[in-house]
Amino acid sequence: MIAIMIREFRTYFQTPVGYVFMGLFLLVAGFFFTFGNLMNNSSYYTSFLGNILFLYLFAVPLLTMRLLSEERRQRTDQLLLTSPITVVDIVLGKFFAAMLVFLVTLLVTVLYAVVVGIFGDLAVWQTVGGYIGFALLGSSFIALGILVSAVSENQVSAAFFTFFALLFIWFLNLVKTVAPTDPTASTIFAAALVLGLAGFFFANTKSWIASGAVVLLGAAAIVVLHLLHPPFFNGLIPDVLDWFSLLDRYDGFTLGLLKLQEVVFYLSFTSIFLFVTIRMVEKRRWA
Amino acid sequence: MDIKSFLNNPKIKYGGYATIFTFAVIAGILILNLLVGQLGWQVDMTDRGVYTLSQQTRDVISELDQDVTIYMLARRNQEDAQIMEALNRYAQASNRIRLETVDAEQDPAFVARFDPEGEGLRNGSVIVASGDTHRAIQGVDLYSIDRRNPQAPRILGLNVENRLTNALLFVAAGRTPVIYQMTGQGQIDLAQQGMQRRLGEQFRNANFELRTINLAQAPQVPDDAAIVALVRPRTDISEGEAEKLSTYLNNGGKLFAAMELAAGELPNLAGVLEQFGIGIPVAVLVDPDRNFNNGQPLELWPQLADTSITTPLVEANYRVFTPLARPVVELDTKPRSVTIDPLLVTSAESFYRTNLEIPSPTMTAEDFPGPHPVAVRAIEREFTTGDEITRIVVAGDVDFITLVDQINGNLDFLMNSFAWLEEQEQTLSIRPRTTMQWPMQTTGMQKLIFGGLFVVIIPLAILITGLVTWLRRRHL
Repeated sequence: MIAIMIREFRTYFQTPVGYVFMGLFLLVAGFFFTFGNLMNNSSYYTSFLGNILFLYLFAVPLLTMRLLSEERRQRTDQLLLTSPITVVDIVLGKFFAAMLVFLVTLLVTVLYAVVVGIFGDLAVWQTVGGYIGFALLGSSFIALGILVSAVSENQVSAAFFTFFALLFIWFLNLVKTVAPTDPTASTIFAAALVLGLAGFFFANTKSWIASGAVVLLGAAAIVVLHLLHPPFFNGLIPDVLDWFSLLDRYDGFTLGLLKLQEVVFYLSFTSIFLFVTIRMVEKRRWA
Repeated sequence: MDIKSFLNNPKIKYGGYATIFTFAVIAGILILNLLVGQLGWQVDMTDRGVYTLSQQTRDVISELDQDVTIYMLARRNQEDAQIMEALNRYAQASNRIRLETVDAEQDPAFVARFDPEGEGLRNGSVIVASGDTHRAIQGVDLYSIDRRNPQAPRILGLNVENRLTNALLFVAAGRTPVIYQMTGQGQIDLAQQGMQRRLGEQFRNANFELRTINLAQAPQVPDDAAIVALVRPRTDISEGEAEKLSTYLNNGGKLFAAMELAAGELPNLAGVLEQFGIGIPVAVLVDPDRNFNNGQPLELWPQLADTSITTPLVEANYRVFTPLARPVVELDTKPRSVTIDPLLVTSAESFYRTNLEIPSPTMTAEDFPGPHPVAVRAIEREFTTGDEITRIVVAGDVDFITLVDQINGNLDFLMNSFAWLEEQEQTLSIRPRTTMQWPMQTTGMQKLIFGGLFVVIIPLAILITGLVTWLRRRHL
């Protein structure tokens, strides 16, 4: 894994990708810091970190687009998959290489905090918490980018779909503010989730019976919940969207709270996407 | 197709196992998240412990013996994150406290239950309810606001804990202590003081009810009186009033008195206070020490003594401004059962002058050298058992009350005095939590240098390095 990580990290800086990522990230971040904090004499550093979250939309596709899709396009994935390295090592090696580039870039922004510390009133531990949250959110998005890269044919489509996947996450945050909260809408939403689950089963097993069983079990669960705990269906849609909202979970870090549940959530999100990526690549290995 | 052959179908066997395995891992991670969420472990990374409950609040919460619900009035997803986090601390601290969000616009009937007089409870406010008792807190009172510039008030931080803990005490006690303000001698009404921060609201927030009483007409101080307030009597009280007041105090009553210099001799009132060893000579306090005056020796910023009333002000860097004060002194005849603590004290350079005809700002032979108290508190105890009989606060100035708008210290001193009288000391030292960070101090040149470094030099250096690397490797 370490060998792959080092190779990938070097590749970032043997091609323009690493430099373009760092340069553009620091250009936009520097711009926001200069005009948001420096020119306004504002010492609120965690607000600055919160304001540049949108950068992930553009930075993450750049960082992850070629990681697995390029191997596939150049057919070097055949070499990798037939080499005596596990898929876990391949995926984690690439993930950590991307994380390393991201963290090195983030380290440069610490200079901004130093300036606030010297000339203003820097809330040091709050800033440390802000950086931890920023890095954890970044790791979740990078894991998502790697998954998209694993299922994409080439870099361009990987970048394109990663961008839209991230945009979808931003979009969900808007949707939850207008999502219906009545029990009928919640029931339809729960039914749609069950159907989605059944569809996933069907895609993997091609069995109508297995998928039908999932639908029946899901429907039974909905009926039982309606009978035993009707309040469950009050505002189910915004509740679910709230719980899964990657961006909302960052708010605590901005306020200066380091919550174990948010740390575990981001690590879980990262793990799930890496796990699914590993399953996808493994499936291809044995296909 | 029988079950055996169905399960042996390769698609079912391998695809099904793989799918179930994937779901098992994801479900496991989700359950882990739900469990961790229940633990509620977190670290408050703010320098000033904005989201950490004080020991006083934890004590109040641990003594709760009834269920309490905190309602945050807000539109869904539009709650103030800081306020919600602060309220969450209460819900996490005890199983007896529940936090709910209610949209006042969507559910006006719910709000009307807690606002029968239609005082305007709207989104942003908080209601603390237990059984039939509730306390509503206006949204603006949840913040600590600097109002020195009335045109541009600034939010300094959160005042949630002070307000919430007071409200918890109120709903837990289920009663509102009544302050009876004596009338008939031209007194001022505390409820009418303060333009932006109406004292009436401040007293209500601190769980007090203000009423007035004319002791000349009333047969006695009412039984439900928690405190009697005598604020700026222009003339002396009658002998009958003095007798009723003495009876009330000797039976465990509590008194807050603030007098102005212009009132002159107040023999009947002085007689009441003398029983507790407190003297109110007709004199003016003069403090030439510039550290303790406002540029004028009569306009005092007295020192704050170390008492439960004044220490919270010292911790908050607040001072109390008393523009024209008379001394409040401890008499030699003070009974041994009474303990007197100065609250506000003039400097060692100060003096008080009884001959008001002398115009000189410096001390003369007739003057009494300081330091002298501007305000004191007294506790009378049962001599044998040590049980408290009464508590009294006396201030030799009234104008500090009319200045509560401009000076935070004046407001806190007044409110803390009443809280001490009512033995609500738990909440006295709960300070607002500052979230404000001081602005950066940079020159134009420094802005230009750092701006250029961060926006131009660093990104450009990285991009140029990338370009050079790319050009070099292109020809390899």
